[in-house]
Amino acid sequence: MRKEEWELTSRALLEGTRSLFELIGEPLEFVGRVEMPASWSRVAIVGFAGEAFGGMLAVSIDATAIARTAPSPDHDDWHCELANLILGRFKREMLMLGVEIHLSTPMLVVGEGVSLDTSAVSAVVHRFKTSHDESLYIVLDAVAEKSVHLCPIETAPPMSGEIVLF
Amino acid sequence: MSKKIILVDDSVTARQQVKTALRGGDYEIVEAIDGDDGLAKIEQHRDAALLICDVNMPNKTGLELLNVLQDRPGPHMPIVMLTAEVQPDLLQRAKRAGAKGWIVKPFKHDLFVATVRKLVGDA
Repeated sequence: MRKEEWELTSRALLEGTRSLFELIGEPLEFVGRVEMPASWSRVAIVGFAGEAFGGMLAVSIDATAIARTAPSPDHDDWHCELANLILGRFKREMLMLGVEIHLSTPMLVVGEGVSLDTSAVSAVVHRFKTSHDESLYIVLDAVAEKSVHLCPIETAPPMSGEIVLF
Repeated sequence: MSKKIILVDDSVTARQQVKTALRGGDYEIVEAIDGDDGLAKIEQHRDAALLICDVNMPNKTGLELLNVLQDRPGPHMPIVMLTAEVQPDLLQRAKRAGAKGWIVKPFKHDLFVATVRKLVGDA
């Protein structure tokens, strides 16, 4: 992919994340692209793969934000579910750019000083803030074949909350 | 008599959201934590009025579960998929395997409840 297409990919992730959190009643403020934090205590990871585009998405959210928004007492599960929903949104945005990816099931890594070993070239770390000043980090670490080019499609896939009856 | 709904999702949070949305209705929710468990619960509760099923799950995906059910003799309960997936060919596969609908997470409570009521014959 060309540099400007990587920018479009990042924008797709940011837009997908922002709209998801708006939908669940937690509007986010985008802080910016930041350096990879030296360590984490909790990070949800979801892999994805396509014909010529694949990688992983990592999501780390302050525990207070998880606790405040969790619909169930299982906060670890909610952390994973949020990562899954963010990647679902990203997948939709990428489909609209003509790139198809398949998602794995999310997993949560918990520990002291957890670090992410990403490919130095393409890993991008985005930081958001909640209205309670809590941090949300999203790491996109992806690789694409040079032949991949983004090509917007005309028919949009269904959106979050949409119900399709057959 | 309350209507039975089988709910298959590996996320306890997603199951909780469905249970919360359906709390006001007269439904008995039978939970399953993955595709294999879903199949077992379907065997145990053949009188269920609806199957709500996630797609990406360990131990048999939702679409694999649908394929198993499709190969079995009927009658079949209505099935609706509840997932973050939006890929058109997955929707088509679900439709071909007999699903009645596809709901994209996170869902809107009122629309979700209305869809469930319609599929179980309450609307």
